[in-house]
Amino acid sequence: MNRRGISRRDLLRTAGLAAAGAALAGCGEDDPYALPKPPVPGAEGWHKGRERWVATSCGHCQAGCGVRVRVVEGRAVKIEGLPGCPLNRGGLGPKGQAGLQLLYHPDRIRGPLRRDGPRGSGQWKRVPWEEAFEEIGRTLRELRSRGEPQSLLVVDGDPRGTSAELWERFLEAYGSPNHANHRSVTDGGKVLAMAYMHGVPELPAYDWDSTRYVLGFGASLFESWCQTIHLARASSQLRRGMPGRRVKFVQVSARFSVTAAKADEWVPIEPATYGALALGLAHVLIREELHDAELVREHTFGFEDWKDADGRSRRGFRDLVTKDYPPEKVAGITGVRVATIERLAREMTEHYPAVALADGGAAAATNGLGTAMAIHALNALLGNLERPGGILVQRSAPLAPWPLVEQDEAARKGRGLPRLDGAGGPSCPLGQGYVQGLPEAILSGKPYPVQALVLYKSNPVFSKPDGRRWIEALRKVPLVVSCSPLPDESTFWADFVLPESTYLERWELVEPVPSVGHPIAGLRQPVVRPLHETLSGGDLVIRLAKALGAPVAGAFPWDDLKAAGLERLKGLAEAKTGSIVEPKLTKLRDEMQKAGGWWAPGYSFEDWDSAFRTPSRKFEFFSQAIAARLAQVFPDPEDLEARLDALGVATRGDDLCLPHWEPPRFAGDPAEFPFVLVVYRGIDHAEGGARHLPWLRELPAAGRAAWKERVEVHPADAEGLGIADGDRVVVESPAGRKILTAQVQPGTRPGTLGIPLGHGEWPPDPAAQGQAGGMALLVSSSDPLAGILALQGTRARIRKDGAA
Amino acid sequence: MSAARSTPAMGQRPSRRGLLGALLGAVAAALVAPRRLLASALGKTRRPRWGMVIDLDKCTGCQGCMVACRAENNVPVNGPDESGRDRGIFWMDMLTQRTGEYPDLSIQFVPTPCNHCENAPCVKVCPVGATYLSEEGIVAQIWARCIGCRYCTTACPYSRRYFNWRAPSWPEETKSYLNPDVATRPKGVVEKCTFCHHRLRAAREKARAEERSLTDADVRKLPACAESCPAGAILFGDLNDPDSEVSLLAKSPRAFRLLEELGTHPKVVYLREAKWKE
Repeated sequence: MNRRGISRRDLLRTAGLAAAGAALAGCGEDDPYALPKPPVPGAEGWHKGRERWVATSCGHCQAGCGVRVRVVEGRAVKIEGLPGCPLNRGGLGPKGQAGLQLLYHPDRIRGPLRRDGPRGSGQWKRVPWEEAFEEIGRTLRELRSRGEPQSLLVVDGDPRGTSAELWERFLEAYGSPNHANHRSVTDGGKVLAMAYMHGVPELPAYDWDSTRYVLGFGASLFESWCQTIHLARASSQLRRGMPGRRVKFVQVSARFSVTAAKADEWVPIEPATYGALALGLAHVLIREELHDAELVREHTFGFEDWKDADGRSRRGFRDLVTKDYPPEKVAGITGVRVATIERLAREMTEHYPAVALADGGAAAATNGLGTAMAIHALNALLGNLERPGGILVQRSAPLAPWPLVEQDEAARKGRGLPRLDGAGGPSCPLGQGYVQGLPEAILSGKPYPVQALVLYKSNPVFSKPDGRRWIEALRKVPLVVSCSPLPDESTFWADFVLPESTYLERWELVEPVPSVGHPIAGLRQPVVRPLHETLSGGDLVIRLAKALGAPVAGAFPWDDLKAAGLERLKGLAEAKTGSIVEPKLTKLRDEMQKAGGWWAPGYSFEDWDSAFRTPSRKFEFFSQAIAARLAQVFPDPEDLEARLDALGVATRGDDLCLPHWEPPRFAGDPAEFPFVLVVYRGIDHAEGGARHLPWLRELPAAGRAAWKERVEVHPADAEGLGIADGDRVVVESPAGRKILTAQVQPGTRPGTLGIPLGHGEWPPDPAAQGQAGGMALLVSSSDPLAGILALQGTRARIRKDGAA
Repeated sequence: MSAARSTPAMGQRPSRRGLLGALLGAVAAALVAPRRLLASALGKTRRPRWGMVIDLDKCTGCQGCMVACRAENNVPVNGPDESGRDRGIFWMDMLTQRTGEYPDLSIQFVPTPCNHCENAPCVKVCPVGATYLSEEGIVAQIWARCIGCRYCTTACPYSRRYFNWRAPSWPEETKSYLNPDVATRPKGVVEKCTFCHHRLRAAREKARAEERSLTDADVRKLPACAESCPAGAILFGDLNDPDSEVSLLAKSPRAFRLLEELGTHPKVVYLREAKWKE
């Protein structure tokens, strides 16, 4: 029946076109069945009933799963996983599935807006793109001509990818060092451990296919790991893919999470003591000589005590763990029994290769860097580095670099100034910047004032602690531009909104977060015509640069993001390897469009010469980079001593450069605030990006509390306070006060309160004044040297609403 | 349909069974072939009994299947009110069973579609024949025939049937993502999982257009939940076909069905979660 209908229609169409003549061909304005052609090159005109599948790259998180989207008559109606993509192999998680609700969200901002009333009044006026760029460009040009290009700050929620590279390029040409990212709040600790021990400032990759044992330290593998969907597939393979053999997965965490429930064994632990446990395990491995002595001898630095160039004796890792972390002491700190510590250590060596996984959350404490390093150090002892089944260094796709930016004198001068987020400076000597410190920098005007602020994929008022300070800071900056596609708590205080298009409406080259080790380059393409007057992040940067004129515009010789991306593809065309071997650029692009991307499976294991980019070209237990940074920032050892005293850091000397643990600090007096807040990221919202999507709010496990902000309480604690499941409760911390819905859950560690991040009102309520979301209860405290936000760092109290 | 399956599947089987198996297989094939011809000449082919296997050991509790189902089947958003009253509609739901006390805890996550019982209590109580067991074993529901008496929602021991307490609604723009292959349900009728029978129909039409029968490979990830599952924990297939993946898995020692003791004969088979043992 259908077939006959279509053929009749086609016949009519053909007849109609013939009658109208060549002028109408391919356009079909008079054709009642014709709908606008989607902006996909090479796409045929389509008509009623026509459906097609478009391969692209998911952009809901940074994992970069390949997806294919079913488009019926120009409407995207379903998203599926892309079977060919090496990350998800056809599977797709809840976030990826919910992309349709993002695309068609009724609250999306329809086009560029200019504030049309006082700040925060919520009064906006639609302006044409040209006008918005011209006005912003004028201010930025002025700043530059006044010799203050450094006063432009870009807070960028996406630390990798084309948009981030274009913003960096923009700032390089413009002359500001201030490209702040969110890493210190997300996975900063893990990245720093890799940076200092591997010499590679990026998350590690894993070779799951050959792993035989997994020990997760608060690793939210099945909830908010950077490659959650890839992990679901990998774990299914590790458990059920090898007949007669099962990989053991042990999860160590304070809260009994989904991941803990799915693990083969769960080891409960005191919050913020993960590092101590890792060092206790290291102690047993070394004491019983279970560690991989050969790998440690050949490819690591700082295991044994050593002598530096001045002939001074320096401490090695062996001495530190042997003397300072016997299991008995560690058991006292962590609450994990000695027998368990010893058994886990033995099990790991009996099942080679075993991996130890740190999580951004586990290292999110005032002892964050030492903790992340301690966990990572286990991998060297277990001998899994650069070996099948172990920790790999993600290889990047051979994309061609863009031409170097030609900086003028003003740009060079501005770029040379210290960064506002403290990276490398005395306030954050060992970190890559701490975004949570920006409000202080802005409000104090030190080291220099901020005159213009761009928020890209960033809603700090909601997703960072101390939202009220962020509002104050935003109000102080003369020009605030938000690129949010939806209204949010920070956009509310902006002067301009340049709404970004969603990932389903744009072109983009995608480099997924590290995963399997081998290079992957996804190609994102529009599946439907952009619904509103929006631009992709990359196009925003390019258009803004062009509005600024020379010299900034000179760094962007492309018409748009698509052209910029095509230039990078040249590298793949020349690589002559991987899933698509095609020397012709446009043809390569077309093939990538069909396949959803390009990947080159295979990993060169034990490539020792290039694996480690540390000063010693080895894995460094003793990080010489840390020693160098401290020496550089504090040339006088007494300065360092004074600074450590002032910051309350207990560790001294060589231990600062080694994996170590020191007691965590919690804000709030235990007498006044008896509970420790254990905030976590669920699979639904992570830390802020998805609460506007009903499908994610209503994940069935949430049950009746689906739309509520909630707090988890242990049954005994709840009983003592007269709190029942579903009660409205008041939770107070030194940072703020919130009314939440209690969930009495036995998986909550007694004495702690579990709070999922990312939950909050939608639409955002301006009256919340920086108190929306779980972060509002957190005190903005950090690892004092590395700037890692202490998610495990705040105490709180709870009572039933109405109770005194 | 078994004819089409024979080629790839039988090519693999002898190697697994060894030499003796190969010999027996060859004999069996010689015997079966004429019978198959006979069956098709008489116009009698074995009807499939569609079923599903959900491996709880592979499942990571991500709930991607639940969102996939809602997107595919035009299940409206519940909203804060309906969610708060526990009236949310989830054709594919998640049972979360918690046991134990800190620190000896366990949570079992069980994705629960309709069990498509062979002996379906819901079918028996429907006074108007709005729900019935299809010839292929799918417990189907005719929306237009349902009078909303809710006998079936009460009768279903698995609570897998949902009553539309209100008219479904979508903000204007979000109507764009509605799946044109699935009708929306009005207020006052009961709705439920269909095993994505619209997809089954499309797959069958495609196979027919290619002049072949439906194979196990065509259907194993056919429902939206199975297709999306990142862990490959959900598989679909013909339980009547002894060689289908679901039939083989249903024989696993880990296999069980929900509330089997009620005699409902569910066609959703679960594979028990396991833990690591030395």
